[in-house]
Amino acid sequence: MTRVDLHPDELLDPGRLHRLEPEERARLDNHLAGCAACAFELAAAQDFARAAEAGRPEDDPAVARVVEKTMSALGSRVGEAGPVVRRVGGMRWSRRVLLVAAILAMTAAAGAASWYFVLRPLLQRLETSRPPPATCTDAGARETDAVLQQVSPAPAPLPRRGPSALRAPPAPPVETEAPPPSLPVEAVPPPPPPHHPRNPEQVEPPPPVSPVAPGTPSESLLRANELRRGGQFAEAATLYRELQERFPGSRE
Amino acid sequence: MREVAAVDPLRSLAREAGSGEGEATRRLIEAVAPSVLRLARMVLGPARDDAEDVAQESLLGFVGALAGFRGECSVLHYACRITVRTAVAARKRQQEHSQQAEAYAQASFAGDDRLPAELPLAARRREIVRGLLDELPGAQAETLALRVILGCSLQEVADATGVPVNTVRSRVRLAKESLRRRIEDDPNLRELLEVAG
Repeated sequence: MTRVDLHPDELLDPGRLHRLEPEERARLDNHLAGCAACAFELAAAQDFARAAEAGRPEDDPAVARVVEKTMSALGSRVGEAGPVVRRVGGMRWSRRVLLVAAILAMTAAAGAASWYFVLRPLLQRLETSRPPPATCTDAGARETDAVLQQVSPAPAPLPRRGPSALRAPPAPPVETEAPPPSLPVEAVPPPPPPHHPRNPEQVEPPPPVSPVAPGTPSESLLRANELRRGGQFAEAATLYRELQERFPGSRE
Repeated sequence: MREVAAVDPLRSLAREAGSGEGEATRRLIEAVAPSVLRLARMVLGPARDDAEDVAQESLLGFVGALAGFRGECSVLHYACRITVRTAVAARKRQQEHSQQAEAYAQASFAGDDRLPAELPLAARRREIVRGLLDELPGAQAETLALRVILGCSLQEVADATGVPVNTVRSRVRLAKESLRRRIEDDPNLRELLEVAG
């Protein structure tokens, strides 16, 4: 680093030139004697200062032109000709009202959009995600009815659910065979009522668990399922096998 | 800083103008416009005829910057700082878009052939400074203009340009280095300075 690289810039501040201490002034003069750049800067700064003092154009017509052009530009910037519009608190009332209205409109739009695009699909999804009621297929129901007609004269067909249940005609009554005429009616004991677990008056002690249930195929299937859930797999398997042998075409 | 007053008479006017008061804005512009126009002419030089446009641009920038004025200097000095920066930027723009201005700047430092010999020494120095503003990078040119033309201290330049004082000192040193090379490479200029010394 040479001598001229260490410019005493603080001493060169024009505002300080007349306030330098004697030793500061001597140091500055010593530097200026060997640094043409600092000497030029100082001389040029004094030139500009003298020019600024000498050429005050207060009565220059260009000043009035500049003022008018500036005010006109300021008026066009705020959208109105003439002086700058007085504002209250930095913003005019009309703009405040417009701003509040815009905020309200945007809030309402955001609420409607959130209902339409978020909440409503969510509710629909929740409703559709409920487990559907148990239904049976038409083919399965018809097959079961046919089996019932063949195997046992059940008093009532299995209730059918689903759309075809509304359209399908009621099942024809099951024709029961007439008892043999040779037998006296009085001597014949009344047949035992069909097992109906939902009838509280006919609650009987449960029969012993037998792998071969004499009931309807549905009851047999329910029974086999109960046995399987209860851990009696051998008996359940026997029941399943028997049902398969009896109704090889049944889907159940 | 030459124009700083102990009590700034324009401070309240600037506050009202900053809040959008139209009449205060007009009075403030009328108060600072002479200095702004004079400064624009000093930076641009007599060869330029766009001093009024630059002054108007400076005043618009000054009014727009009133909201950010923190009172670190006088209002007039604040307007002058903005004017110097605007004028230096205008010189840069003109130099970029005008081949003629660039040729003039080069000729100014090549041998002062375009400068009339009868120009006073001070006017020639000012013209050399203006030519140097065209050649220096933007930040250095702005620093040199604030310091030489407006007479700002290092701290005032730092406040005006928003950089640390050491950065200003570095920019001043680089600008002086360019100036020193110019002086050493130009015997006429060196002779001129020796005569002046």
